[in-house]
Amino acid sequence: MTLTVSAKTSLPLGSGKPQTPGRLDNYFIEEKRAIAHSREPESLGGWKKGLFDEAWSIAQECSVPGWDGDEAAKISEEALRRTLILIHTLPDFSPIPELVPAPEGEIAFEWNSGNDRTLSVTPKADRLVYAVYLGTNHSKCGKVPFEESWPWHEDILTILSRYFQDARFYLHTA
Amino acid sequence: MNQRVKVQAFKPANPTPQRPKRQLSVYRTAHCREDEIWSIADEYVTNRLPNKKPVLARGELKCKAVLEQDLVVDPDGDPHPLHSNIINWPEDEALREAKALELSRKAQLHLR
Repeated sequence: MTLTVSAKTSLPLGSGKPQTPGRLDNYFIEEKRAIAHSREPESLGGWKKGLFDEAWSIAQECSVPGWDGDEAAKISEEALRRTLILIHTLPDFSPIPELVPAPEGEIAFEWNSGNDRTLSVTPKADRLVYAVYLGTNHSKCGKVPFEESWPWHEDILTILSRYFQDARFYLHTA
Repeated sequence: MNQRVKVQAFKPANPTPQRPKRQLSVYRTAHCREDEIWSIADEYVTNRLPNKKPVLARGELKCKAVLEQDLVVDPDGDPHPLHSNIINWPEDEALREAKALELSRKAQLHLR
């Protein structure tokens, strides 16, 4: 038996800023400007700015309950804020994640490497929920604290630095 | 862009008073033609989207892959005779993330 699930979340959910700024836009526009012009390395081609824009678009498109055609919770302003913080504080060595709306009302981070490795991180109010597949008989999942002063827990940074260093190249050439 | 079905596509929404148990909506399409599958997507997914954007992709996986995760396929036939829910999700959110990741790895992405 074959099962089919809507894969809407695997594709970009629009791009660019909304034409008419709403409450959500006004709330974050100054923060977004400030972050977008922060310490992003020029050599990385502006990938953090691209992620900010993508997070913004996802939050807009998924700002109502049922955005998936089912029972998904809306992505709240607080969830968007967490995502922006996490993008801002991604270390320079990090591969570029893909942002994906999560049915619990969050914006998740996903990394895939060319070696069939996958890491998924879903931010919650006070924790990061993650699962990683690194190969046959090598996978793990867990929860680590999320604090604004130190958003990315060392467990996740270790996984990224050790197992996903080819992801940036892979994503650019896929 | 990485051409895979994302992990989040296989995670159920949080329980609600109307739906107290976590469930992931799927369709049993093993014997369907391509046009029939997309027709179901248009009628039962796109029509329920707030923005009515057409479904551009779908993920397919074998029922066996679901059962291997100790999940259950419940064929409720609502709102379509081929509709099912994947149920029996664990309470632990990290385990749900891991099961969704495993399902995504087994799934095939089909673009329209």
